Amino acid sequence: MKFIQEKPKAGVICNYGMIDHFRSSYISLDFILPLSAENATGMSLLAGVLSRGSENFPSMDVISRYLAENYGASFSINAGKAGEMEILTFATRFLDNECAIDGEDIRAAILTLLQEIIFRPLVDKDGFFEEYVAQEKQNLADKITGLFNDKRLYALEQCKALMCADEPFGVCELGDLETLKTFNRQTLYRFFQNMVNNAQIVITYVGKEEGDFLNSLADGFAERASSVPEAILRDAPPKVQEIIDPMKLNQSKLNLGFRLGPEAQKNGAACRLFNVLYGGSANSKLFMNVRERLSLCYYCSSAMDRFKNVMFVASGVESEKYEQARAEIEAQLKAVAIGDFTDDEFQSAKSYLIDSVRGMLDSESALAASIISSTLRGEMKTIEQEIKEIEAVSREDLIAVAKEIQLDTVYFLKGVQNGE
Amino acid sequence: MIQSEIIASEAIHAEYEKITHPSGLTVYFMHKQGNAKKAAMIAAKFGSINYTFSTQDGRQVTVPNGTAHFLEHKLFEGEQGNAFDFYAKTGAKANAYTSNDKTAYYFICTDRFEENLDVLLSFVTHPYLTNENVEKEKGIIAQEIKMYEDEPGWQGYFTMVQGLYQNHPIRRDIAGTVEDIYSLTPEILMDCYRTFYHPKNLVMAVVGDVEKETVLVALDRYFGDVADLEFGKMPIEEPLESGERYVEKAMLVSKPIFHIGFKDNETDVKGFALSKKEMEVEILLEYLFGKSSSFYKELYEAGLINGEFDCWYDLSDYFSFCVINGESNDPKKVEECAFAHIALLKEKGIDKDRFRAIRNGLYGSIIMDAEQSYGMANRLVANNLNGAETFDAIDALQQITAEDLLARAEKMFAKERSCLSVIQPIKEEE
Repeated sequence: MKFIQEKPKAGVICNYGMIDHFRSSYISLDFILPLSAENATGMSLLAGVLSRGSENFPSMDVISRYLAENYGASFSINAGKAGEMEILTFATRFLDNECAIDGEDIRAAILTLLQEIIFRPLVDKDGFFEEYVAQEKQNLADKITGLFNDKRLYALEQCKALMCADEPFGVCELGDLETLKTFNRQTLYRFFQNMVNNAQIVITYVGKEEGDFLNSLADGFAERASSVPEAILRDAPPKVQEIIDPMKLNQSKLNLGFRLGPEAQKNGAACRLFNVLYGGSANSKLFMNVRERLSLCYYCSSAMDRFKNVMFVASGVESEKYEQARAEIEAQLKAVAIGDFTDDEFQSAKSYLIDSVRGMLDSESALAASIISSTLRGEMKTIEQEIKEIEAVSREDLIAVAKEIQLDTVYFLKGVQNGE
Repeated sequence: MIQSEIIASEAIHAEYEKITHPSGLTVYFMHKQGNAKKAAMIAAKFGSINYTFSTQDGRQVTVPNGTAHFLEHKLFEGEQGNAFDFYAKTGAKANAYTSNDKTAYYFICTDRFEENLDVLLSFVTHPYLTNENVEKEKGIIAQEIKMYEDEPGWQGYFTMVQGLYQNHPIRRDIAGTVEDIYSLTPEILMDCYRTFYHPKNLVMAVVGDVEKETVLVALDRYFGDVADLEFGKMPIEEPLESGERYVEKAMLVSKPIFHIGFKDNETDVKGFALSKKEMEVEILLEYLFGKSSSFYKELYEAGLINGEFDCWYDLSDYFSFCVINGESNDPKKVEECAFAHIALLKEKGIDKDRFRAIRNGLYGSIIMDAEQSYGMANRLVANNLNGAETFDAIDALQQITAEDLLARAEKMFAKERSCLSVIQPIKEEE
């Protein structure tokens, strides 16, 4: 894999991740703003409104038909958070030109679509179309209230929001209903213009075609102050925050939120390795103990946000097993922190992580996501370099990460039956 | 004697090999030069629908719901320990799943393929069932069952399937209830294993930058000559009409979730005809309800549906039905509009330009999907178990005419063979 990064102007970065074994390619364009209720809500609403069409692609079915004609290309607009950044992503995957039956230039057609959607949205003198904004406000409101439908996700979101109630990270990536009310077609259009002119921009290509074709997108942007929003890092409070919410459910959802320390920030490879060993794989401490040894759950796993330097453990258990499951999850963290894991477990975690990293070469979207993450950290690493770093991690490095981890918040969505 | 045949597609410049091992096992091998990931899958034609059967020693056995799925969990355990411990040494990602008609085990790795293949084959061919380890699994699976009980998407889908079919064993829950699985014993599981994990009832696929010889050598180690067996198709008596036209259930959701099912009136299609049918249905679904359709545009603009919308085709040699799924405050109106658009298609015929665009889109998607090691292995296995050959779909796609599509629409979409399922919101009780 070859990795080329260009900075055609301040605040605008173009990445080319070169892999040559697939017959398809991927292009994404990311707008990055600091995470706040306004930015999360505005970007989520834009994801809906911009997908409705542009001057030359005036409705959704026109876009879909264009994608089908271009050999089943996919196109999506999504807003999401990473640490304390809100990112609006335009992503597309498409077949390489060599496969076009009549010699069409598929890549050029896809770049045209991206330019259209981003630079020529459907507007009149007052802003976006009233009808589209009203409908997409309703759709976003449905999405925000619909978070409740998936109880696993809902419980995790609750845990994040309660742990970081007065930090930007506590903001839901979809935004919130109160802020949504403040947007109308004029204010949303102003928000859009502000985003286009001031957000950090990362444009990423993954595929095999050489060239500087991403400039056709970069050219549309003015230069801007170059600064990636940084997350606030905090320690856990002296006393663990515990919240128990009863709900009529068959299964209770247990979530634990942890703060990571400076070692995790300093040694990214050791931090990722810790996660694999502790709860990030089917061979992890959590899986092997909470599930396999104690039969307490079907799933129990950990995941990190490395920009925010936090970790969340999620599991589904019986209501009356709350204490036991929580104690075991905490005990396994202590075990890792005192070095109570075998060399086999340590080597397995390395193999697992290296396999995951190498496997990204077969997924254009995963590779692009990894390139974008590195870009936002100000790093430029190929897959091979990442693997070398993982290989170099020692047991002591991993223990150093584990030792600093502090439990901050426990959120228990407690399943109760009628009458309880 | 190993028999083998090369199956190539000129249209997409790709090929794979179909091998019949002397044991009776069918193996697909596709060499993908340069892919980082190597995938292997082995699947038994044994799923939740196979609840009653005669064993090799001639006993008729009826097992509780959830048995195939329980056995899937248990085949990760061996005398030497858990399969995950062995995969962990190489960093491979391993998993398994059970559906209505199959149980599939697989791994995906970027290194040490041979060792991983050894783990996969060794665990699938050596069941290790004790009272203790069967008991231990019950707690885990009970939590898996309870997780699904709280998932509105799955509940809505399964409620629809139960409304659509009257007698068909697809109505049986894949994981069973907690009571079902607590009645399981090692003996019941072994009856299933001996009956359904015969090499002739298994199919395997290997896709990636792997040497074929590696695979053949491993097969000889785990599959010897065994007595030949005939696996006939289980007879199923299912009326053409759906059992219910409307079903509902109340759950903690923010907005009603609907699934509209359309039961096919044609079963027992095999081989090339099945692949052609699958492509016809895929084209029709996009044409009628996909994001490029006037149905989607009209309903989206009217606020009757939102971005949470999907349609797909569920196909096996035991069942065939289409599903439209989404969120709406007025699911009955959505159903009404769906039938109006079906009627419109029958009346107006097929628009040639849209047909061509959708066909192009499918062609591109097939090439892109065929690049992925795991996705391709899964497809080769699933198609084989349905009695189809994966690359037939590409040739079929070229042959389909507008008339074929109209004829297919007649067979697939009829009111008396449909069912609307709705998950209605309930207010949480204080």
